Amino acid sequence: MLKAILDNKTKEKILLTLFVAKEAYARDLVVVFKGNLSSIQNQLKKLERGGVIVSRLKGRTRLYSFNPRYPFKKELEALLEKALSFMPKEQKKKYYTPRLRPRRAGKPL
Amino acid sequence: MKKIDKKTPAKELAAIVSSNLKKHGIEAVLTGGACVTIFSMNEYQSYDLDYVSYAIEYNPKAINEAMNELGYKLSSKGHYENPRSQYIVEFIPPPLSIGSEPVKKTVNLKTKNGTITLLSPTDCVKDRLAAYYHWDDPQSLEQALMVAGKQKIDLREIKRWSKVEGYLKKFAKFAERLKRGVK
Repeated sequence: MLKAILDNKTKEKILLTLFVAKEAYARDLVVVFKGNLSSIQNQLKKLERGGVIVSRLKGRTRLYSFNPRYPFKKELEALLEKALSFMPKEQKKKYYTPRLRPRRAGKPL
Repeated sequence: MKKIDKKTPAKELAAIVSSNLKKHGIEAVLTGGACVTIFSMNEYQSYDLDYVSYAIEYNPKAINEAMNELGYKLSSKGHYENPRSQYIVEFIPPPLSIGSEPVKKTVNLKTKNGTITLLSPTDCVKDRLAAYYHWDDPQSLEQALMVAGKQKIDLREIKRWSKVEGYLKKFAKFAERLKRGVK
């Protein structure tokens, strides 16, 4: 949907995921989108270098989120919100409705 | 041109780098922790020189030439390294901004090795406070206090900006600490 502007489908998926989930890690994105780890990591790196997203280590996992200091954050989020509102319900449910509530370790999903 | 070595302090190194960039027609503004080092008179020591420049998007070749001339090489991680210096140099994509607002005025600092264009002390404090506001980073609050304690800053402007960012409560904590004295 935003590929024409972002020139990259993976980047669109990453941004939409971060918009709905607030934070994500690379392997998480690989599982959800059945994508390629190196291409996802490459786009995460580009977004981070551009100041759009930031990352921090949590244990041994690098978590990514929007950079609250990115000057166009509000405008970017408005664009992503609009893009999501145009998305078919099924697709939105499958890819962009993450489970954010806790779940005890070991309990089957 | 003065030689760079391990003993070259941040301020002098920034002056050498800034002057060489200018020589190559590159406008770049020093931002981040290096400004804290300069304004806090080395109370805080940053080992990163972060520059914001449009040249990173429009003329990266010129940046590379200017940096290579000083012995800096672009690392695979995207910043410049020099085996003769403990400081790394990074070019951050524009715009020059603090939070949601663009930086409109920068200052020029003259040194024996040239002039550095950098954030004003007031914007430097805002820059540190932004990290404190958004990530609760206590180190950034301390750095903001170091600069505010040693430089003339516009506290009313910082309060206005903090309101726009939605962090008046945290500003009050900063202002209170400043009033009580930094130490």
